[in-house]
Amino acid sequence: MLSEKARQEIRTLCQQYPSHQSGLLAALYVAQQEYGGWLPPEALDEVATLMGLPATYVASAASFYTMFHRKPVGHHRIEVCTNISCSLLGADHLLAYLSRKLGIQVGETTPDGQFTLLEVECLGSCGTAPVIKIDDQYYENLTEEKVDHILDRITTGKGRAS
Amino acid sequence: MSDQTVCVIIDGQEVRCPAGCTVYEAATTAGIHIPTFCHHPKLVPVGACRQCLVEVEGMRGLQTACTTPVRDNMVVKVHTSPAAVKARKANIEFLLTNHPLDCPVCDKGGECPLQNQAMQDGPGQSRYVEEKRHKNKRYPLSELIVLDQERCVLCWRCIRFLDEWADDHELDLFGRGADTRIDTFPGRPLRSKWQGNTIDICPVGALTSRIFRFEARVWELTNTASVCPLCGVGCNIVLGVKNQKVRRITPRENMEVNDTWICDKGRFAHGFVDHPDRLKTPLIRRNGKLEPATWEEALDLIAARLNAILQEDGPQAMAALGSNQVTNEANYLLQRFMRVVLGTNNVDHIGRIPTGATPLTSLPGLEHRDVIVLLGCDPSTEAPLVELWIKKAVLRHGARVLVANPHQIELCRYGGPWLGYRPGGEVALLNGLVRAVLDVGAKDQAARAANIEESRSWLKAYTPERVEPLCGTPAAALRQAAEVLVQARRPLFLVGPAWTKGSGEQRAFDALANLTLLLNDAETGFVAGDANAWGALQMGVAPHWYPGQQPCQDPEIRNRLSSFWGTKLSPVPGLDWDGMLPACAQGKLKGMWIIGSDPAHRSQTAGEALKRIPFLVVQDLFMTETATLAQVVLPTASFAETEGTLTNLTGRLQMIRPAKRPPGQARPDWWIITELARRMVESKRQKSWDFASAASVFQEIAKVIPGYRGLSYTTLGEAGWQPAPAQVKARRHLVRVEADPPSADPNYPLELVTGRLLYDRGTLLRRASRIQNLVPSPYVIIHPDTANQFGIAHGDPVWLISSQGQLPFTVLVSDEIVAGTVFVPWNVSDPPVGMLVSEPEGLTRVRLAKQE
Repeated sequence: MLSEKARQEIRTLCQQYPSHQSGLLAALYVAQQEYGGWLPPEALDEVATLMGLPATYVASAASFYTMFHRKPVGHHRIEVCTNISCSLLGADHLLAYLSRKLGIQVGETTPDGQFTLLEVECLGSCGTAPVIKIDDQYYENLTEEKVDHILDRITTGKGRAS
Repeated sequence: MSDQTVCVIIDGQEVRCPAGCTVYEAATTAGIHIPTFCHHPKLVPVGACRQCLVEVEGMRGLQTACTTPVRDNMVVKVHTSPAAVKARKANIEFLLTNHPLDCPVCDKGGECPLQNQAMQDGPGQSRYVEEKRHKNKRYPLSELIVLDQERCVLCWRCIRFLDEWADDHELDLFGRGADTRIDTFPGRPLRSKWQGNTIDICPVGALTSRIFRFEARVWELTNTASVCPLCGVGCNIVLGVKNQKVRRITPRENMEVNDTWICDKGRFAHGFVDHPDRLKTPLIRRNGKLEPATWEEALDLIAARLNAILQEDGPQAMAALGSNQVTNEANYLLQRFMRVVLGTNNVDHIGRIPTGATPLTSLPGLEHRDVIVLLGCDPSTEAPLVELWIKKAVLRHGARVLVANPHQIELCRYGGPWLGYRPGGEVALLNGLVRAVLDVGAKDQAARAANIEESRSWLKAYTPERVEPLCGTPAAALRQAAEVLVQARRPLFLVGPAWTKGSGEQRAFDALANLTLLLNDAETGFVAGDANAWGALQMGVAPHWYPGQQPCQDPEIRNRLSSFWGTKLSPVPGLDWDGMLPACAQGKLKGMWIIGSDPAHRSQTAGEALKRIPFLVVQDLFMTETATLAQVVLPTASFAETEGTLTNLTGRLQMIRPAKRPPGQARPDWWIITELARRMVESKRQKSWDFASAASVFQEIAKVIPGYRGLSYTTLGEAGWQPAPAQVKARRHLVRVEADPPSADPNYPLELVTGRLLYDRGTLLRRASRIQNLVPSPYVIIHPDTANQFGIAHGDPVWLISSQGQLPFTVLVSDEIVAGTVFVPWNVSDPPVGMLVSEPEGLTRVRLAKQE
């Protein structure tokens, strides 16, 4: 269940647009936060009811964006861009490397619940490709060594690598 | 679209078309074919598939013909533009790169637009050698439909149909890019009752029927134009038969009836036609057991027994029940047999349309009503196509839908207001509305009634506040409804069979006429739930009416028909169904013939009464409860196996045609009645019973019913025949109709409301397997107040108890029902809820008890 605070936030969002439906993406963000980083069907249903939209429409919108997760995700989300610039500079190898290193396929979460590996559309940082985004932080001009370093920093709790 | 026309040149041809139409439409009117996938004439264009690309002089690049509006003097090149031809060919190749080439096992094969266009416009071979993409190949969207996401070309037709017509947004696009697919909300199957139509409009084999799947290749089917017999709308359909079995039903366009749509019940419930339970030979009771017999034996026995009864007890000791489910021809012959051969007017049918009801004048006309008032009528379950037309009025023209019903129905979703009432409170509710309309309306409302001043005194007692305790309808809802009605330009009142049960036919219609006379251009139409309700009435299967609703008491009409039929017709008034029951119970009826109806299933009283009839003949498709009581059971042909006509809820005569042979020895009703008559009349009069076909019966019907003169099966044709609307004389005076005080019985404090569901366990649907998975388990809906009163909670198992007996149900507590009533769906429980009902059918009072 969404908290009353979240429900109020969504209601306010709706008021900011001439048509309710324009507030949908922002509302889904609110719901995703409330539900621990993903959107279970109940969350989609609640948003639909709150906004007076068909539930299927809400689910469809959520499915379009890689920023919305329709399965539970780990503590950290590793999002690997595989669009054109990153691909040309080895994003596919990087993705395969991460998959091997973490022992999971794309879309899966490590058994300890720490990492979810995701393939995403363009992160808008072609000049520093290949790029991955972990949680809300960009990591640029990556190599396998850099990735090792970054993941070490995160797992050892030393915070984000510079 | 305006009335102006413009001139466009398409492939060198000058085409005149209305301004504002699309290039696609203009080309189509000129007979120039433009291939499409996403475009559908009944849906709003989206321009998603790029298959209709054409060149337009002066416009950069190629244009989608389906979304480009015409301009005067526009020059369009469809087949004369090399660029457009090449682009369309490339588009086909592009669609086919990922479309699986599984046409040999695809149900759409043979009637597939993609297949046809690949042949017509495609490149003929593919350059794509990589692996095709993989998605869900056998993905059930519901009990009825399966989706092949690999075959889908993402044209959105299914999504758009459910949005624009059914208003059920249950399908949408999920994912993105190459991974995009059609899907439902996670874990939630399609629930729309219109989903089957998406199969028809799918331009590829992505959506297929789980009932028809792999049953036949479409070119193996023999297609017969017919009419759906499952409700009063009479949707035009096509029966596809292979090897003497109905494999599928698809809609047939008739703009006066069903447009190009049918509901899922009509489409998917045909399993009963070829069910192994069908009766295949006549049965005769020997030593207490029904045993197979030949037609000779059965008919000879019936003739002998009826003759004996005629000798000993006279004609009034016999009665017959026709049916609002069987053809006009069968009903006509049945009453002709009873009146002419036996000499009695004891003929009726169950569920007769109430006196005073008038048919709806037009189905497409519903679209142009700005306010639609549903009185005890739930189109969504009783006559689904009516719902679709109402939705069209709401979605495209903003119509309001007012709902007077004891519980909330699907159409309440458009904001109502919902006028919940207790059965028996119909008159109070209408009087309350009359009063409220006079209160909120200006002088023009009052001025429509000639006797308004005298009427004000008796209407004083019906302020919304005083009406609320009488019928349970909140005063605020009544006022809100009155506001809507006063402003209505062309309101339509749709009356269902439930409306007249509580207050009586005369009073319910008088009170309604009071209301309609105060409003602008109001019309009242009765929504008959059965396929041939108007037909049974028209054919004279009623004790007081000859065919054409000509009164039996009129000596002139009696004489005219006597000479036409060549016998002296009896002036003795006949028994109606309510009169037959006590006559059975008192042993006055010695013989009875029941065609196409199952009264023993409807009520315990009827079952008990029928047991006392010494000689009962039942003619039906299945071994019904009534048939188990019979001395002789006759197997009859279903709608798919006989020729005949049905009269729909607008009075439209439409033909059903045989698509296959009946099973075993089953015979059409008209043949059975004719054969029996020929055994009973003297040889010189046999000539008057030499009907050789249903067509010859209809020829006689057209002579007997004044309004049908000149009609024949040829004139009915594929589209049927619509009679001119009956001239209803508008009343100018308010008639005083007083409401009954609410009934009270401390032992049975609740009013039982029954209603149809779209899918139930009735005689026919019980034999449609997949449909059965959609029928809920037996439930009773009660109001939270009732739950408190009886100490019952949501989900509790309870007994529902009436003076007739008790039945187990599961409780659903909901405030979507008016307090003091409980709702139970008809034909869902076993034994049927009819067990609680006493006949003659009025209101049934009940109480609840928790199951221990």
